[in-house]
Amino acid sequence: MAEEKPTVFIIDDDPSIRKSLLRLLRSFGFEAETFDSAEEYLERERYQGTGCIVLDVRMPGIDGLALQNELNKADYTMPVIFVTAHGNIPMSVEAMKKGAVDFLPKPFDDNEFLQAVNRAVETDRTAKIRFAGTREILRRIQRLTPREQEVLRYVVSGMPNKQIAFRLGIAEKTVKAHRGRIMKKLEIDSLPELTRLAEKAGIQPL
Amino acid sequence: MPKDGSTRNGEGRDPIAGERKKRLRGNTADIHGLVRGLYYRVTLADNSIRWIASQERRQPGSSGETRRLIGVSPDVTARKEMEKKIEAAAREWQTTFDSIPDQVMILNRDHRVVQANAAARSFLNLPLKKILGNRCYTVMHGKDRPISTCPFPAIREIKGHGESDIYDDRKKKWFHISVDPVLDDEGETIRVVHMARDITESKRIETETFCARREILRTERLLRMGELTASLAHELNQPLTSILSNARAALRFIDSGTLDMDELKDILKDIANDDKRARDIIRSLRSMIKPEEGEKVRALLNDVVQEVVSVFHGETVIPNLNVETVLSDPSLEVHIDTVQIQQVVINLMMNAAESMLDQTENKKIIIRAEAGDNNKARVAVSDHGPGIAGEDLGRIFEPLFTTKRFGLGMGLSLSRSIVEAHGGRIWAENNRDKGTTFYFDLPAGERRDG
Repeated sequence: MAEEKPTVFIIDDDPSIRKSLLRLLRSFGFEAETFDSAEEYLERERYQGTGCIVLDVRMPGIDGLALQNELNKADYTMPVIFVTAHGNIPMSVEAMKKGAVDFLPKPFDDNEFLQAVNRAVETDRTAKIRFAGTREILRRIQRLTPREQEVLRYVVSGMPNKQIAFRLGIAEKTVKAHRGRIMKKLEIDSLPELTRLAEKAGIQPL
Repeated sequence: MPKDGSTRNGEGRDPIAGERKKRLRGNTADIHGLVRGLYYRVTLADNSIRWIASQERRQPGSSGETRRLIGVSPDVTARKEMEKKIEAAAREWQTTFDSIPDQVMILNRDHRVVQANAAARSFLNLPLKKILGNRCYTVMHGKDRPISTCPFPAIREIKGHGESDIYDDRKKKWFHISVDPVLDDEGETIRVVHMARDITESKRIETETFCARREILRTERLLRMGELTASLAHELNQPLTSILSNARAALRFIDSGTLDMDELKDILKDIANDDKRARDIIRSLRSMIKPEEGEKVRALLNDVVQEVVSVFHGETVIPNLNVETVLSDPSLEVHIDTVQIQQVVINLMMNAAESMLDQTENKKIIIRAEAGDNNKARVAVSDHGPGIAGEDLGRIFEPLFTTKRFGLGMGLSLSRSIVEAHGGRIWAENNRDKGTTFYFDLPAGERRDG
């Protein structure tokens, strides 16, 4: 993945807040974009890079917590920093449960904000790398034939070749051949590696 | 009484033989030997009963012997009946008098008790002998002169009904006193009927109800204040966040050597604008603490004032406080949120009471409901306190301004908001002699008698 500057998306209905936070983020060295409503942000084309969202809780239309729900549903996850001028504890608990990384009461000072943004961006980067790794594994698993995928599930369950052959009603030699092609297609050399990869891909042992 | 008298004069002539007879002036006859009398009743043929008072007079001869007997036997049935009626009326009056549950005393012009009913005797816990002839304020209140809230002195002059509520601090009880003069043929007051009813319980309930209602209002106001504070905090936090972010961004630009002069100018302009925004929010604070729009109803100003006075317990603030109420005649109709206007009146009365906190005497509040200029209904609350310094007089209605030791500076400013929301005006003047009078005018509707 290309090493680009993380982008922070500021969603707040107050123009003066948008402008000042944009400036502050630029002084931190981040790219930033501003949106005056949740609706406007949802219209933007899907961002693929690393970043985070700075979201005002109370806004006309779709408010901060509702936008967070929308994004979760659309599997368009990005760490969210909630900022609010009248936060309360139940509100912040709800936001955190839904995956907000921070909850900053306004007014906040620059270091507080910088730390929160750094944490959020770091969380996003890790998540994206993990996601990228998983995607690569899934791509490789798709090279396997249905029969090979079947054999793979028996293998990761720790079943010996003889038993797999019996279960599938094929010769033990054929199972061995399948295993060899699986290792080759998945670009790995050992059984432990295979187990780890299957786990990452979400393949459940039988 | 000599037996022979009755035998000789009675039985022979008495058609109701064997019935008991009463002697009339029998003793006189005994002493002088001149007159004998009999008082008896006869049943006539038509079965009606008549009362006869027979008298006989002995005329002695020269040697003392009875020369002649002269007898008269008038029919006194009418007089007998009248006497019975009078006796019955007297008993009836006494029974009625004693059965009145209120304490009733009849006083002469000099405050001396000439009659006291059973309730009064039992309340005073004294036999009638010890009550009669004493002055009412001595037996009632243990004082050596009439108490200032007593309606008696006034009605002696006006010769009409008078009443007031009195707190007896010896018995710790409230009494409703009503006094009515008894006039003679010339229209002069000869007696005063003084009735006292123990209203401690109803006062307590009235006060509790009123306090509960005030408490609800106060809670509501606090809640509203809480909401207001929250929304104010939110409003102020927005510009504060922008100001802080802009200032920090500028500092970081300077530190990193990437500051652009045009950008700096823009930042400072934004900071100034947000500061102004915060200032405007604070300015609008005063208009935000306006009283809520209550429901206005038509009410008589006299009733509004009287209700407050009846539940106003200035004694809780200062002892021996004397409240005089002067109502307008006719009563003036106003269109008001009664609860709010009563809050204003209570506030003014509390202030008046507190102004006299350090005084030992002449602790008096006069509250008047009267017609103001230009078809206005006016309430005036006067105290006998030290007055308000001239330079403060113009400021007392400002929020947060107070001259009290522990004042908040909210009462009068809220009172002003309420009165102004009613299209009225509130102001204060120092009295010519002593103390201050607070006035407020409300637009008046039509005048009503009563």
